[in-house]
Amino acid sequence: MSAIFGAAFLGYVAVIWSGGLRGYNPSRTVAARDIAFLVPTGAVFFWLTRRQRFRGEMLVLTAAIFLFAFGQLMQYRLFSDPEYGARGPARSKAREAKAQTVRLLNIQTGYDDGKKAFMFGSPSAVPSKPAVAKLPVYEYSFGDILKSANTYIPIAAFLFMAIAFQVFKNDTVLLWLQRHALIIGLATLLPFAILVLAFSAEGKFLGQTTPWEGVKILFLVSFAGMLADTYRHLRLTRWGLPPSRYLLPFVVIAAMPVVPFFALSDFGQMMVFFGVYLMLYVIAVRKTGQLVYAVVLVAVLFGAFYAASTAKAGLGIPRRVYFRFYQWQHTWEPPSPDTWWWKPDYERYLQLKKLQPDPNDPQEIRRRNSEAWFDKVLQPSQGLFGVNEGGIVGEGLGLGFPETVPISDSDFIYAAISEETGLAGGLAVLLAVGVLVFGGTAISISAQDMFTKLLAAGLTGFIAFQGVVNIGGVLRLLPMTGITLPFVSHGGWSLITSFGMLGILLAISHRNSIASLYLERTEANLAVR
Amino acid sequence: MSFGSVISRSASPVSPDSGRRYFHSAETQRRWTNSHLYKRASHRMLIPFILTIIFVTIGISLMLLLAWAAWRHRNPAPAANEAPDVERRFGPSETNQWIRWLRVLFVCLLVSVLGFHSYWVFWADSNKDSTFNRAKRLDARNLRLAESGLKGWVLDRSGKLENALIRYRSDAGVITREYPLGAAAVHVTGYSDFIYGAGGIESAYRDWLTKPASTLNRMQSPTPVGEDLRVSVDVALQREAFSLIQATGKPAAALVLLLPNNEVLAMASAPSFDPRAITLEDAWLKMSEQAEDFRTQPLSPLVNRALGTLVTGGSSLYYRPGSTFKVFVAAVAIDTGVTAERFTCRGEGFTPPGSNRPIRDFGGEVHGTIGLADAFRVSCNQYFAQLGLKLGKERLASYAARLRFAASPAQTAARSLDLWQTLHGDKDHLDYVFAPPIARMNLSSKVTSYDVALQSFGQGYDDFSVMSMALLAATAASPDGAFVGPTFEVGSTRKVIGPFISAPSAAQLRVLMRSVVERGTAASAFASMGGRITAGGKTGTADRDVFDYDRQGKPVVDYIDKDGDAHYKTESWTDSWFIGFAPAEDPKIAFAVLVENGGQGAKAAAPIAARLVAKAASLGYIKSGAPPR
Repeated sequence: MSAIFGAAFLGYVAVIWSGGLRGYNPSRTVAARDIAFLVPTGAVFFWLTRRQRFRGEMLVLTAAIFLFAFGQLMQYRLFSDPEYGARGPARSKAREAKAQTVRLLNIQTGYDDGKKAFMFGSPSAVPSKPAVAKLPVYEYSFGDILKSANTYIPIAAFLFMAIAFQVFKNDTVLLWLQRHALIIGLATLLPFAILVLAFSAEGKFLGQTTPWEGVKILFLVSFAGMLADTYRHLRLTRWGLPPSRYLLPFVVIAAMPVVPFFALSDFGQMMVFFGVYLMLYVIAVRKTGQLVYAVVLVAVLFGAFYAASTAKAGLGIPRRVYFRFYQWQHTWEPPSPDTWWWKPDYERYLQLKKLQPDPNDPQEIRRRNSEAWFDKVLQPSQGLFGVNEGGIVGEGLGLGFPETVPISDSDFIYAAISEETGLAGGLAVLLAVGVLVFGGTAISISAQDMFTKLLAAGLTGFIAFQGVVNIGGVLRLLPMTGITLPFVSHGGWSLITSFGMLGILLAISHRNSIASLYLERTEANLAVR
Repeated sequence: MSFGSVISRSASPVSPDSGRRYFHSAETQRRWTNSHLYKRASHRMLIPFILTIIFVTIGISLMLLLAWAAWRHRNPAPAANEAPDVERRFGPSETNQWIRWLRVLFVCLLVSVLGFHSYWVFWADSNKDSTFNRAKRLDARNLRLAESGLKGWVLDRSGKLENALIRYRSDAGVITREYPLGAAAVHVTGYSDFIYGAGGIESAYRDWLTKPASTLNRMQSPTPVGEDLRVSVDVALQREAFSLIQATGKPAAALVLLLPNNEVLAMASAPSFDPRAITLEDAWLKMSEQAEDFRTQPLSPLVNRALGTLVTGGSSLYYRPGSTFKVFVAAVAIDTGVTAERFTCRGEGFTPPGSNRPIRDFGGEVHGTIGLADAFRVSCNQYFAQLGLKLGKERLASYAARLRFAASPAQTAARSLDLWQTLHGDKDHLDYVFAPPIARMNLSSKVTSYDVALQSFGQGYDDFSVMSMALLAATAASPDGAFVGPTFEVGSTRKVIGPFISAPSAAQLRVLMRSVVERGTAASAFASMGGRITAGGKTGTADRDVFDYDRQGKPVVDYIDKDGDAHYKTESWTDSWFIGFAPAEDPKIAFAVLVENGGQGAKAAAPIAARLVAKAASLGYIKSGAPPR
């Protein structure tokens, strides 16, 4: 904990220092707030160990807090940059102001007195701040901090973790959840579906929030509950297939999250759900035949997508999916402007820029098309350029240019991390995810009953899968999906959900440790007798 | 005469993979888009970087520690209250092995993620022409680097800040790059813009101009201050040269070289443009479209007429040297000892053997039977036609090769690479921007004696640049008769490319050229000097066909043939030339002046040359001893 504290402190000093060199002024107050966040996380430790007599896995919690601290640091760095925070014309103004500040700094440190005097009259007349455009103010007062959602969300996340811990360590609750698994699933689906169909726009709800992040936990609970109930029956197979009266409810429940997320066209979440469900099923039923079926199913689905990505017609799948598949394979090779899934975007680009390429001039069309394409793939390509620039140890915190990567505080935070801290920082993140996997599976292994075992495996799988899908999307290992990196990314509901999942994992771990303690005691008693 | 020899076609205008509007071929664009990139500093800014290293080290060691602990506790002790065998097969604990496999799966996934990360770090940019690297030139980071960096200043030969060719200025705290000479020197300085690329010195010396100069600064800035460059140009002479040629109102060029290193003292070209014009998008696009089209290119201000290239590099424009080329033929004659020949210049002209077209002199002048000295002084075409035939193709070709002239069509359409001397520049960049097109003749076996005769006085197949003629004058003026490459830098060593003629031959040639100024065709133009400054030189009057342009600057179509190809109307222009050196006894400077369609050499070009010599003298370049600093 104190190592995280110390490292985070150094990180913030680095960002503030390089902010000075890069021509912007990171807010000290926000830095203090972010470092102060580590106090409640420390309090969580104390609360768990002293108050709750927690004997379970601390590794998972430590790794998660490391990821959280790293994420906060990167968000601090990004939002300190006036260019990253601004939109529209203010953005280029901020960029120019930064550039002018750096030029003035350069003159102060790099020019001899002769040149200074020539340009400004006298060597001491070099101004320290540019006169052109004043930088947008990112100097927060204490009151701003209190009002900021960025302050409440992590605190809400810690609270949610504690609540989840309290709730899920309770036998009665767990039993109730397992009993009513199917109903929970259905009860979650209905309001969720209504919410989505009625209020969402482009996968977001009321501005930029995604309040349905939390339903992931409920869906997972219901799936694990049902599986724990019927896995014995699913083992009895004919031709490698389980009896349909046990299998069909699973197909239904597995399809449940797909429907709303399809409506949201949130394919990243769909992919993660699908992967985790399949994984839990295979683990619980443990039949090699069905594993083969699962692998075949994945391969067929993937192949179908792959084939469909070159298809002429839409097949009901949104254009965005085709775009992302194509972009994944050929990031820097523009498709023909006549491609059906690309044409509307291309035309929108022309409209936006008020361009009318001559239809008889193939060269001009090609040029406009590639302009439009490079505009469209700006985010992934800027991200990869950043990864490449970062090298092994990175440019240094605050010294790279992650502000050129759109949304690099949430979806593309891994690109920002690897630009500024390089392969080394990336390795630290991957190791932390690895620790989460090992810790989570250890919790799952030591769980005594099937429900908590599957729940722990599912939560671990969910967190790790999300991490891999997110980072893989940045690095072109997988198509870009637009899901967040758990604990690291900026994003209210996603952070709260991730910490909730962590709370459940800790609760299960706590239960395991109590059970084993109890067993040890009985054995000791038996030995005494 | 085909148009190909007059105007060469520029390369295909737009590359398919360009995201922006450029007017060059893919190859040009590759260099060009590179040319504005700010060279990223190879060092890191010290303090925040060290803090970052410590931060990452702590992070990694902590995570390694946790990973080690997680590894040790990966298999918790199995629950002791195991059920009997039959039930255990269906019990929860049997699942554990599958959970372990799940763990293996995730480790594999994480390792492959790390592998992909390493790919983008180590291998993605290893191939220079990969799709990744081509796309990376459009990286938005480049703009940030270019905007916040300070390239070096470009100072003139005096090294004084007020005489800078390129410098930064501060408008109430806004720092912008400034070109104080503006249009007068834009073909030397070039310009630099993120979208429209760079040209001239900005492009040729960009590596030097962005090379970190100050130690303290490079530890504190992501885009450190670049090295300054002191070029050999004299600001006063450059201004004078530009105002003189601009005053003609015609396309013109002037080039002054300082001997013995052939440092460029002034290089002016008209029409010109203000380097700030690049920020006016419409005007700039119009200008570049004009330069893009080979038919309108001869009108373009983007052409550096002193070199025959575009200011951005690429493309080439040739001129016919006219009588100034007699300097070359006379040099060959003197060096091979063919000086005693006397030929007759008649009213009906000289008809070369195997031809029925006579060669006459300008305005039908008749010089009678004369020797080399008189023929050179009065610039007798018939004499040099006969002298050229007497010398023969082989001799002319062997001497042409010494000056790097191409003597057969097979060697054409190339640029004279590795001509410039440089200390600080990158040879490739310098050649790309400043290498003049290779001057060319046609002395192959297929050429008739009529064509050889024409080429002997600078007509016919002769295609030259102003630079090649200035270098010819400089070679004549050099005491050892050696061919020396030009340079933009003060204090560079003399780059002798090879011997041209012997030292006594050069001295003899200078006597001939001096007679032109004192008693010959240029006497009236130089009369104002009243013998205070001596000089040598040669006038030239060259005919060439050019497109006929309408008011909008579009070439006028004459007719369209049955294949649908347009044929354009042409008109005949008479270019005015003067090349020479000063002072005559101990040459310090060499120069070449061209005024397109300026008429006789003695009328338009020679007076400009005389004023340039006077200006150079007033600046102290013509005194004996070391040149002024």
